[in-house]
Amino acid sequence: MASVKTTFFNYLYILPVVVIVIFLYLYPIVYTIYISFTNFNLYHFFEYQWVGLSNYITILTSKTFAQVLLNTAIWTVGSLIPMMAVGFLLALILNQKDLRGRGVFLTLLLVPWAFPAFISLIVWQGMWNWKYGIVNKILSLFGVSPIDWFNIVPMAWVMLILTNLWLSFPYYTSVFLSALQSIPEELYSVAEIDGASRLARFRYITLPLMKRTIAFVGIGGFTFTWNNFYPIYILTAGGPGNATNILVVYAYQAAFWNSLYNYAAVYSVIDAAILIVMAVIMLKFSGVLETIT
Amino acid sequence: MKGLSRTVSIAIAVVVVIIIAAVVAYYATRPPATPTVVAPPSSSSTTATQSSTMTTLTTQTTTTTQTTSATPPFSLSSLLNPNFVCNQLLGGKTVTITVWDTYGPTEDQAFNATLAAFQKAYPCINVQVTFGVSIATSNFVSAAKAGQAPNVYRDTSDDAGKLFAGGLLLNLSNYINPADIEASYIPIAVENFKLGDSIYGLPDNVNYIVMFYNKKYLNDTLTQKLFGVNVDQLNTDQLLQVCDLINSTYKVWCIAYGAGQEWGYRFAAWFAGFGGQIFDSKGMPQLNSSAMVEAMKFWYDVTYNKKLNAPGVTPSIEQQLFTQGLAAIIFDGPWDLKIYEKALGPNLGAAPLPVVSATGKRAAPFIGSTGWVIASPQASGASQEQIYASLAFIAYVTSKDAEMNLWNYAGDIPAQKDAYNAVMAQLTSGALQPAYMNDVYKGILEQAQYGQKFPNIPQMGFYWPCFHQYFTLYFANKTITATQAAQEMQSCMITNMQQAGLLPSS
Repeated sequence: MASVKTTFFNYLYILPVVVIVIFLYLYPIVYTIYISFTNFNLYHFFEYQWVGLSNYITILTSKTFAQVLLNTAIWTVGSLIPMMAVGFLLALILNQKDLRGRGVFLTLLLVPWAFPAFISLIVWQGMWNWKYGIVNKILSLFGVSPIDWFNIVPMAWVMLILTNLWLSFPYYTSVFLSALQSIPEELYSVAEIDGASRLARFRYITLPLMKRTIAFVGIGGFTFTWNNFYPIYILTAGGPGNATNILVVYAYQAAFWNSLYNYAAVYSVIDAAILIVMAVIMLKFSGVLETIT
Repeated sequence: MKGLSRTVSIAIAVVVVIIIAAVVAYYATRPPATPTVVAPPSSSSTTATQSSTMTTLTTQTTTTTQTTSATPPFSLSSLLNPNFVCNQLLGGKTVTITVWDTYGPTEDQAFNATLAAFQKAYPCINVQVTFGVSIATSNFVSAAKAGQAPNVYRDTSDDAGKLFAGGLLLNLSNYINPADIEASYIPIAVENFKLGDSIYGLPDNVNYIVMFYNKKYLNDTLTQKLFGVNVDQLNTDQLLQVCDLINSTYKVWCIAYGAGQEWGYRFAAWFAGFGGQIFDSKGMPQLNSSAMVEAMKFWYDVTYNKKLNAPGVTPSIEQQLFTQGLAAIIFDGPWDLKIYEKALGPNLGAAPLPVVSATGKRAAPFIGSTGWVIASPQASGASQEQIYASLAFIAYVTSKDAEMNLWNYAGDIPAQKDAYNAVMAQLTSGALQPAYMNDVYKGILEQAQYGQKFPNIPQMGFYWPCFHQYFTLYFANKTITATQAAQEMQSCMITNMQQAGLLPSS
């Protein structure tokens, strides 16, 4: 009996946290799910009705959804691969103990982080302008004709991915660098004495010991990029047309351009559901959770 | 130690319970979402006196004190009478109202002068203003959902039309005599704030785009010599010929129009010029038409084939090109006039958009208005007194003096009849200084003859994103054809209207 009492009082200690979580975390999620089953929009604002699954059926059978889902996959994978590759490469370079000016590089690394992303993106928007932007001016030095980055669909993707790479690589480099620095130096010394080449040391020491970090950063990067709103919203707003639109931007536009809050909620729920399923699958196969726990 | 621990845990639980109880009590004791506003009588019951036109504030004060009714609908003149408002409507109480101000910096100078005069004249109304709010902001909707929208808000007529259709705004026809409103403001401005028979806002200006040009490159002497007409009579064929000449002679862009970034506001003028209309009389979209296809092809051709229009420009780059003398023509509204006046001085010209040669029709921009609206009690939780105070406030900030302030400070074209007539008199007498601005304003006002009504039905909200989505795709290296773009725009609008439950029954 005493034990039950103690347990009860122990639970009381976490009550404030539980209450905060309910208000700040669960309420918006539950409310979003709820309105996704209603006809709540600007024109049914104060009085709206339950419509069952009809919103979901409408969206899941629309061609726009298929296009936006495909775009989201292109955006996520297309961004993640160069971000991780560049981040890892830079981390390897900066991990060289004998590298001169390492401190300067590390400081410069923080520059994209030092600026608010919103401001950086507006600056980038000007830089990509086909007529007046610095990017085309630099390319013209090499004889490349001006490229209309915003109005040619493949070029719009290149622009988005390169901008996102600039914004994101410091994070990836920093995480990889800290993981590299945690590898004991003795392992490399012993391998070197044993005659292992630089490539062999990388393959048999660095990569195996970095595997968990790469998996963790990859999964984290995937989920973050999947819902990375600002680059696309500011640079192209999903255009031209819907050619670069992704789920999270489309949900925003459904809510604030079209005032269809119920459809925005449906997009948000579907977006979250897909992401959760993919994250669970990736976590299971990568074994990251086992390492953490 | 165990006892202490238990005491602490109980204390925490008690605090949490108190907080929850306080939150519950707050919501339980809040005024109901629909406050007990006395339902206004139907608009057929008119007040004893209704002046057909508004005169100055001072005159209204003296002429209405003996004849005003204390039940709605009120006459505008009675709302402009502080004595009536403070003593009869508000019963001597001091009432606080919240206002979201959406003016730009120069307009704010005018608004602040008007606000100071209002607070002096109406000591019974305390006005809490939030400055720097974006027009057509989604924050208004969020605040309305929480029942905490501002009492008074300034918005465009079309965006406010959506809010009114959603029940977020007050139907002013029930509170202010509609005949009085129609007599006090110019007809197009009243129409802009009318949905069905209901008026939901009082206009503070009339706005539309015109063709601003740099007289260094384009002027009446040149067009007279080439075609025997002034700039304001040009058709598109003539305009493009002049553009060729400007390009080859001065090596500047003829036109700075960021068509590739269009949302449809400026393009609507060209669509109308090619013979199109956005909605039919039933409210069905009419974007899938040959007029839309031809208008899109025209601008693609001018931009990418003839290379007379600067491609890939944003509105701010357009302005830079024009103000730096790197483009001869820009399509913009009087709200940016001060920028152009400062940059070009006497070289600045203004004229109506040209006649579309293919149809013989003028490119007809939207003649829109911004104006002041009042949130419905359900959206703002307003009391009856706050509604009455809000009515007095919007009547005052759209009165002759207030709109003359906007004209004098920011060059906004008044929607209030007396103010409009006063401005016209100034222009007719050539009283504006510097003198060249008289011609500029004549050009601006001439455009008003060739405009189109700005649709304010709620379906209009879908025009912008649907047009933008497919027009930009067509402009993107012709990713789709103009015909496909027109079809997709139409389809997009119908889908959205269906989803919103706004598709008119055939």
